[in-house]
Amino acid sequence: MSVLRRAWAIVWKDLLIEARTKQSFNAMVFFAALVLFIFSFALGPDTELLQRVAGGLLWVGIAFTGILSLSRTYQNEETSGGLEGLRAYPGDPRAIYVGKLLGNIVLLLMVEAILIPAAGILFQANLWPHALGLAIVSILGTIGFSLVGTFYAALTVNLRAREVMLPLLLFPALVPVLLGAVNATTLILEGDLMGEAVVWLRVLGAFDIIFFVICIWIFPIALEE
Amino acid sequence: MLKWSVVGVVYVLALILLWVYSGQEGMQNRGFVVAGYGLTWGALLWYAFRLESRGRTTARAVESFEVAGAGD
Amino acid sequence: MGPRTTVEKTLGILALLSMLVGSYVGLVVVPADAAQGDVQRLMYVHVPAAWLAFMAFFIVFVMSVLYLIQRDARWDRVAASSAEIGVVFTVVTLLLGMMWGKPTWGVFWTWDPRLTTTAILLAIYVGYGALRSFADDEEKRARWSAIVGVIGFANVPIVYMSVTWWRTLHQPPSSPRSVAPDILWTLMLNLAAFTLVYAYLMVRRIRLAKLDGELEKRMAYNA
Repeated sequence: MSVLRRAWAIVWKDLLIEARTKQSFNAMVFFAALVLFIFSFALGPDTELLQRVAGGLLWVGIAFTGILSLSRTYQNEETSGGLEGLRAYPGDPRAIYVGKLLGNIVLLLMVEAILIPAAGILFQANLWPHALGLAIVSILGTIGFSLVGTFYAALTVNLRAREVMLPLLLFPALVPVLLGAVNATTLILEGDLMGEAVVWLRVLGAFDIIFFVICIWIFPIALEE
Repeated sequence: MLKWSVVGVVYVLALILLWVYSGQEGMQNRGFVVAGYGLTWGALLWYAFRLESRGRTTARAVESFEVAGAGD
Repeated sequence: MGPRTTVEKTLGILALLSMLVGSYVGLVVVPADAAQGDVQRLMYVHVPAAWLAFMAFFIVFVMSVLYLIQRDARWDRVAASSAEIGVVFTVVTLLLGMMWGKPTWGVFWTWDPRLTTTAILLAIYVGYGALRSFADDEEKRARWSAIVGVIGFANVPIVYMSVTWWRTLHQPPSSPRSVAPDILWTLMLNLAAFTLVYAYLMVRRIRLAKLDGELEKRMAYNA
């Protein structure tokens, strides 16, 4: 399918640029670590408290860090006009969305690969027994976050005050993702004796599927001249 | 200037009310009821009057363009 | 905006009268609730406000879809008007909810599914309004707000379900008591009154939107 091929070309190009310049990745890791560190510092040495809030704080860190990179999603294509660079791509504009989406997912997952173990250390939570569950939540949540984020990033590229508009539009839309991810993570870290985490994983999964369909469908309209 | 003074007064009043209501237990319920109905009426009337005032301002602005255009 | 048409005048008078009657009945005529006391009277304004807020945003959704399909500026004007009025009703709903909550639950706020969803609705449509104020091009503004209007509303059932799960996993939901007929018809009365208020405000707001469009056009010609 040529949409996928074009999407892949975009992902590959963006990741190569990122690998060489490391413009986003370093900033994201640093920022995320700082956020977690400040939280851990503010909450003090009470181990039990830290372990209880670890899930929530982890996702706050991921969300803030994600926003940081989202506003630069289309930066590689930005000329003085913003979306003109994107519209210059031949073929189905949906390929752009899929390509940017995959790029954002990969980047965020890579940051989380560092962030989650760091959270484990700072919040004194033993993560290894729950590694699989955490990985699943991480992936589903990151997909949800990136789906809506990549979409709204395109919508706000040409807008005045877009640094404000992107989080303003994004956070209400992300509530199900955050609820699902935080609750699933917290339950998993607690051992999840009653299997409740599955409910939240289903919420995340449903959100991902629904918004993948909606965003792909509407993206060409967002990109119109 | 007058507008901002009114905003400031309303803000301070709201803070005072919040302080009064937060501190008290077993509060006489009627205060909340009156405040609630008052808020509802106030908000709706305020919005309705704001609409009219915005309408007048915009209409005047449109007219000023018409006059300017007629002079060309 | 010019003098009110007969329809608008009638709507306005009906709205005002019904609100007066509704509030009078709610405050004075209907006896206080046996369990909750006078505070329960707040429900006669809180529930209709919430209902109308939701209706208003549903209309934004419908108009947004219509606009994306037909690209007719009329739908955009209705959507924008409904969103603005919806925000007013939402703020009233939330404040009334807090005023009811403090004497009843002891706290101003709780992560109840409906409260939480309402707060998020507020955030979504404030964002909608901010988006419109930052977009200067008429067509782009209409298109982008329509997109936000569709996505924002599509999220609402998901949010509601998520929060409901979240609360029920930790807390049993409050059991609905059977509603006494007195309470029911007072509620209906106020619901009708609020609907008339919405209709009146919409009619005036849409007129304003049309006038704003006129102004923009003239400013563009003279630029």
